[in-house]
Formats: sequence, C-alpha cells, structure tokens
Amino acid sequence: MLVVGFFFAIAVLSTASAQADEMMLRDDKLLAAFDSDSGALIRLENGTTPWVADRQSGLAVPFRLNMFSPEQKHDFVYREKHHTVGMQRISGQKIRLQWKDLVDEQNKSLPIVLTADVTLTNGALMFVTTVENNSPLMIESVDYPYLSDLNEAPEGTPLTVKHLWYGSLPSEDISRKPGVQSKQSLFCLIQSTNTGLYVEMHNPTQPYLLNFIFDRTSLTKSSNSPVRTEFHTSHVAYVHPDSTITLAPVVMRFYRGDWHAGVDLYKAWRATWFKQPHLPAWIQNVNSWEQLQIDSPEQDFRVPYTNLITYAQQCIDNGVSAIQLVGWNHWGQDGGDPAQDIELGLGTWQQLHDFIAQSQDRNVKIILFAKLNWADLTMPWYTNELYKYECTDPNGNRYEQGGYQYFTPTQLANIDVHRRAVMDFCDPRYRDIATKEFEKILALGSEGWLWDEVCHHASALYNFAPNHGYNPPGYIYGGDLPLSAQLRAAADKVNPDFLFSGEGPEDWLCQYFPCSYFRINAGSVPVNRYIDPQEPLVVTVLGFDDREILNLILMNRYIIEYEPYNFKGHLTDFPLTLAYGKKIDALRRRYKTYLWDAEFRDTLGATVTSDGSSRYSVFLTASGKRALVVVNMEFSKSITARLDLPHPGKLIVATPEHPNAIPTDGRLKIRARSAAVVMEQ
Amino acid sequence: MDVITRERKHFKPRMLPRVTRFLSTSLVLGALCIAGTAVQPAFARDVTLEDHVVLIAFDSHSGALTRFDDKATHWEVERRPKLGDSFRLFAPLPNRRWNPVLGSKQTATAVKKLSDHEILLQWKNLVSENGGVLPLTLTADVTLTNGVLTFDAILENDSSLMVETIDYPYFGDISPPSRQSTNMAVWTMPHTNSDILVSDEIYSHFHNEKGYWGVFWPTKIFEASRSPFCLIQAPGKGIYVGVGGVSSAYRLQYTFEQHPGLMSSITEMVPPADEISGIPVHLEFRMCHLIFQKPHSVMKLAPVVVRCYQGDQHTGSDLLKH
Repeated sequence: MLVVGFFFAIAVLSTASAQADEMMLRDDKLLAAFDSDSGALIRLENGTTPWVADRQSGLAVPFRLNMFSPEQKHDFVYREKHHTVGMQRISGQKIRLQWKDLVDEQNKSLPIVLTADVTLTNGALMFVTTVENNSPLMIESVDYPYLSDLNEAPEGTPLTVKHLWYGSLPSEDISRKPGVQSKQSLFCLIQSTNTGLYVEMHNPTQPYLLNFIFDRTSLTKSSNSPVRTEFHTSHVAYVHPDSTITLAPVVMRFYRGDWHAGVDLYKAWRATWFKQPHLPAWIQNVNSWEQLQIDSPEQDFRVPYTNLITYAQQCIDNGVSAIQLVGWNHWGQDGGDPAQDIELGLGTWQQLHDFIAQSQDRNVKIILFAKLNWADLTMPWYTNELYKYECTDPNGNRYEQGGYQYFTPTQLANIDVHRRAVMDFCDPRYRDIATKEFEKILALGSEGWLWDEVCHHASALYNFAPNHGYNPPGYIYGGDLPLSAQLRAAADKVNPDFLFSGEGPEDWLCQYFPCSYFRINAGSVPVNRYIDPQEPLVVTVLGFDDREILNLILMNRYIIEYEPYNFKGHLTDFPLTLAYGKKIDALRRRYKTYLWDAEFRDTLGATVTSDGSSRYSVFLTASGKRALVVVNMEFSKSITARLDLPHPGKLIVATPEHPNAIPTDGRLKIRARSAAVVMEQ
Repeated sequence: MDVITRERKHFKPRMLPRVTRFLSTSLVLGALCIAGTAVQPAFARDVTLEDHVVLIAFDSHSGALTRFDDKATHWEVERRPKLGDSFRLFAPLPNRRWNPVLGSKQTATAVKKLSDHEILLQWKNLVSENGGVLPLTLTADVTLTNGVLTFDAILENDSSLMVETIDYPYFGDISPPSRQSTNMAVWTMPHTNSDILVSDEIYSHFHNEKGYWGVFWPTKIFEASRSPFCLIQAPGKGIYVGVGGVSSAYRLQYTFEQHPGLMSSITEMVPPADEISGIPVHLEFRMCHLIFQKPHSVMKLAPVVVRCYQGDQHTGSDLLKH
C-alpha cells in the first residue's frame, strides 16, 4: 500500500447554545448534554459533586475522523457549523446521534455515516458507535466521544490521569498531554483530589487500539479560540472502504474518592468477563522464587546444566520454591528468539531435562524463561523463514526491537546487540510456529514458564504486510489472546498445572498469564493486588540487605523473587536479604489467614499516622477480622505509629523478627527498616 | 592522539619514536623479570611513584594498581591492595564471543621503575578465559610529573583474534574520603564543546544506568566523545581523569561499577562499610578503549591523564584548559 499522506475529515464545531437547543441524558449521578444542532457533547456533569467535567466554552467538536488517502497531505482543519442529520431520543435514557455526508478538509462530501447510541444507566454513560464507510478511503481512526473542554473539579487541584501498567498505576498530569493506550489498560481514571471520571473501553478482547488522548489545544486557524484541554477516545479501528463496523463501546462514570473508587468500577465490570485461570496448588501457598541467568548472547555459558543442581539445593536449604531459569535456551537470554532449543554450550537436552526432573522431585519448581515475540535478526532462521511473519509498517519496512546489551563493552556500547524483528501474532502461521517452540519447553518437563516481555510488541501496533492470513492491517495485540489460548491448550495436554507466568502482563492477558512478575520502586501502586487479592505477583529483590523492598512485599502480599547480582548469583550471596526474606515468609505462613488468604484493601479501612516515613496496608479476612502491615521506611530511626482502626477488636502485633504476637493498643514502636503486623482477634 | 595499527610485516619504526623506545625498553626488562616474578606471592612488593601531590603503587608480581593517594588532601583513593587490578580486554573467538582476558589472572613480566617519575609494566602471553594463551603483549608506561599521572599503553596483538576492547587503567577500589559522611559524584560534560557540567552521584547512592539483565553490578558509563574528562568529585577535592584533551580515533568510555551491589533497590544506597556479609564493597573505575584492534597489529592506546585537585567541579574542569 502506498500511502503518501493522511487527512482528517469532519471536525464539526458548534457555537454555544441555549439549553433549549440541548438534548440531555440525566440521572442522579451524571448529566450529559448534546448540542441538538451539531450533536457535540457540550456538557458532562457529575451529579453528586459540583464538577462539570466538560463545559464547552464556545466551540465543541462532536467527533473526528482520520483517514488514509493516497493523495492528500495531513492537514487538520476545523469547519464551522455542520448540522447533524439526526438526533433522536430512543428512550428516556437513550439517544441516537447520526451524522451523514461528512465533509473532509477539502470540502468534499464523503459517503460515510456515523451513528452513536448514547445510553445512561445508573450513572454509566455508554457510547456505542457504528461507522458505515461507503467511501473508497480507509478510515484510520475515529475520535469519539469527544470532550472539547475538560475542566478541573471545583477544588481546583490539577487533574491527573492514571492507568494500569506493569503492576502499578502510573499517574501523569493531564497538562503534560499524556497518552494512555487500551493495550496497557482498558480504562483510565481522570482523577481529582477526591473525585474522578472513569473512562473504559468496554471490550476486553483487544479488537483494536483505543487511545485515551488528552490535548491542550486551541483552534489553529482562529486567534479567538481559547486554550483548553480536550479529551477524547481515539478508536484506531482501520475501517476498510465499503465496510461497516461497530466500535468498542466507551463508558464514562463519575466516582467519589481516590483511585480505589475508580478501580472499583473496573473491578465490577471485570467480574463480568474475566475468566479466572487455573492455578497449581503450590503457587497459591506462601512461596518464593530465585531467578538465575546462565547464559547471554555473548556466549558466556556461565552455569552448565550439570551445575544447576547446586542452585536447586540452595533453594531446598532455604525454603525457596521455584527457580526462574533464564538463558537456558540457544544463544542465551535475548539471543536466538523465538527458538526454544537448548544451548549446547551449556550441555545436552538430556542434562537439562534431568536437572529439571531432579529439582522438581525435590520440590523446587523450574520455570523456564522464554520469549516468542521476536525473531533474532542475526539468525539464519529469520533470514530463511521468519521474515515472512514479521510486522511491517505502512511503507513496508519492518518494525524492530532494538535488542538488549550484555556484559561486554562492545554490547554495552550497543555495537553488536541482537536486534529483533517483531512477529505478527495475528498471523495464524506464526502462532503455529510459536506453539511448536513452546512445545519444546513443555517437553523439558518444567512446571511452568515465564514469558518475558509478554506485555509488549516494541514499537509495533499494527502489521500492514499482506499475506498474513487476514486483510491488513492487523492489530498485533489482538493476537495475544488467541496465541495464549493456543499455548494454554498445548500445555493442558501435557500438564494442566503447568504455570503460565509473564513479565507484567496486562490485566486482560492475566486470564492466560495469571502469574505476573515485575519490579517495583517506592512509588509503585499495588493496584494489581487491589484488583485481585490472590493473584500470584512475583517481585524482584536484589539488594544485599534489601529490607525496604521485602517490607513492601510483605505489605502488598507479593511473592519474593531473589535476584542476587542481578540474577546471576547464588541465593547465599546475599545472606542478609535471604534471612530477612525467610522471616517474612515464615510470618506469612504463621499468620496466613491474615497475610495471605485475606483480601487486600490497600489503605482502605484504617489510618496510620507516625512520626516518620511509614506505609501501611489493610487486609480483611473471610471472617471480617482485619490486619494491618505497617512499614517503617526510615533508614536509621525508629518510628512510633498510631493505628486508627474503626471499632477494633482485641489487637495483637508481630514482626518478622519477633513473630510471637503480643497484645497492642494500636501504638507501635517500629524500628528502622522493619515492619509490624497488627491483627484483630 | 596517535593510534598506531599496522601489520607486523609492514612495521616502520619511524612512525613510532616514543613507542619504539618504550617497546625496546620493555622487551629487555621483560626478559629480565620473567623468571623472578613467577614465584613471588601477590602483593609481594609495591613499586611506587610519588611526588609532593600523589602516590601511586603497583604490585610487582601482578602489575595491579594497588594504591593511589592524594597526598595534598590526605585522601586514600585506592587503599586496599587486594582489590587492585591491572587491565581487562576482550578477544572474541571465532565460535564464541565470550573470551575475556582478565588482568587479575595474569602475571606481569615487568614492573620496573625506570626513574623517579616513570614505571614500566608489561604483561605477555596473556591467558584468556576460553581461548588459552594468546600472543598478546600489553606494555604500559606510567609517568608522574608535577602531580599529573599519565597512563600510556601499547598493545601488541600477535594473535589471529581481534581485540575489541581493553580497559586500562583500572582502579579497583575508588574509595570516598570517608564512608560515613562523604558524597561523591561524577561530573562530565553532557555535550561536546559545552561549558555545562552535569553530575551523577556514585556515593552514597548509586543508580544503575545499564540494563540489569546485562550487568552483574550497578554500572555507569560515560562517553569520552562527549566529555574529554570526568571528575570524581568529593567535597572540596576531586580526581580529574582525561584523555589528553585531544580527540581519539576510537571510542573511549569512563566506566564505574559498584561492587557487590546496593543495600536496597528502593534506597539505592551503597553499603556504608568496607564489607557487606563478608564481601568487599568497592567502586571500580576503568577507562574502556573500544579499539577493535586487528590481528597481528600494534596499537598505542590513547593516553589517560589522572590528577588530583582541591576545589569543586569548576576547579576540576579548569584543568582541561591546562
């Protein structure tokens, strides 16, 4: 496909209208008003607070289309006054808006019909949009619904946007024009201090990319236009000529509270579609992991297969349940992908197979690290075959992932890294190839695997190459679930308990990758734990006396993964960290009802104040008893913390160092770099 | 900077006046020293250069840099001889890339004080990790003139392998003036021909800036192509490391590694003691030359200048002008 330019079509503007010219949807939680002339959303109000989130201040955009054209250049043009063809109230809480004969920037009429059904149900405003493209042009994206003038809540604090990503809830001021993508998070929270607007892509199957877009803008061709913040959801749907599609519904809801209240809305919707995957028993109990890398693309062959048993023995000696084994495959970590053959420089297939069997016989599970996203460009397999399944851009050029650097100055200077092509998961032939490689992992007999980088496809979003088994472009993330299902089916034939774990899988992907591995820092938000109190979430520990991160792991019910020397050492290389980690796991086993089996409530339901830097979390047991984990984040000083727990029962406290619980009145002296667990009897 | 790469059969002495003197001296001394050094214990005897400003010492057996004192400010920069090191190079094999040559595993064939201000070190027939003994000779010349140390080196590659990189000089134990109270930072120029300096803390916190998957230790690497010097700055004093103030024919990097790692990935604190769990805590600094030296050739490395100063980073950066 030769694409020489883009152009936008139909940005319809409306001047402010009197209320008589509005059509409204309203209940006690939300009010939405549409201009009856243009169909633009001109007001969006929170029914329970004075927040008018969208208040068009002169001009409003009902929608925007971005179209492929072989002739035209990208030139964004707003047009004055364009009439909607129809606005119809279907029922008391549902209206239909329809725009026909859209006009592009060249003032040319296009045979495109956009129909939006807007429904308000108990405070949830849902937009269902159908696009009939009877033109010869591809519609690249449809920006709808469109808030032309996003306002701050009355308390005046700047709005931030929050979304799920990599085990946390990153937050960014909307004045910085952040972008949130549905591949990472099916929703975003537009958060004020104690209220927010929840916006959801109401389709968890990744049909296409939806961008949540914030833009600070004024009309480029009007000097009188005020600067304002626009917010719109951009459906990158690639509507082919002479085709009709219904876009993923978009839901907007106001909530009162902080991010917990917003995520509660997501949790409620998630409960309607999320398929809880099967989990083996061992991962459901208190457990810990070690990560070990044994080879890299620099062919260091550091730990032969026959030496691995010494690492397993250290796990046995220290009560560690699993080894995430990295670099076991041909060309080591980040070399040779997607091949999952063994590395002869490390030993034979039989030696690796036998080690896995021996280790697992002694209750140390082996989790084999692998990646199926990429094709190593240095490998003959790529040159001979895999290039056929790579993703290319609209110009026919392949997308690449830049590779990763290992050990030698040459690699660390980025000179000879193994760069990779991005494989097209929408191509059923590649999914079969990936499955065959995955079956090599299954044949080795491990109890699970960890798909590193399962959470992304580098810079590639769509594949435009033809002959991939579908009419391009194909949304690569849309292939994630089908491929995962195929891999799961292959595993189930061998071992239904085979654990699928991945590096920070998106929540929608956790249906197939229920065990997530990621890294945290002091600012990480335990949102995944809040969404699913029992999800196995494995977190890196790499410091030589890493009490801080171990305390956060205790606080957030994460699983410890020991990674001495950036996962290139022995467990016993950092005895201080190991000893404290063992104490934490012992405490969690002893008080499992409170610290492992209970519902994680983050900071909800209690308040902790202290005379130093501290953090805390609340757990709620099945019987309604509560536990608090309070962490002293101070490096060198003890703190006194005071708990405010509504209607407390009898309280006891234990610490990793002093696990025998003793009564407490809710005032705690916690030494530096330590934690206390308060439990309600 | 003169870089000399040649096929041995085309060697022309007129190209290398200083190298020739350097090599001929070292060959003689090397022959004299081999037998005696082979049986000596490590750190048997330091060979020292000293003036009123600095003291630097090398182990006569291994050639490792074992001591470096800023006498003027009483800063023991390199103070634990056991952590001293000499050099490191990488010579990939045809069928295996991982083939380092570790200076710590070599025996010097010469560690000789040529004068009050010059030491010659030489290592021959280097033992590589996976390729056996390689016919490589590294000859280093360290001079001290009015407090200015200059590290010259020549690598003779008589092997059939390409030597991709060599780290030299190699400080194994850059210590802060005090473990308890001192912060240290590296100051470099982020842009060529700019007066702007930027700092990067190396003590008491150290943020790893390379991918954790590909390093053992927290690592920072700064490009000499952007900054002809880097300053290891402690309060009121510092160390200037420069590449002679002239452009190099190859890429040079200032590399820092914090061993064995950090206390905590949350705080990024360096363990505030000489050891943690019995493992030495030390900061390595080395100059990495990405030379890609062809087989059967000789190469003179870019000279590296090291000097101490009193003052802040502006004092340090002013040394470039001198």
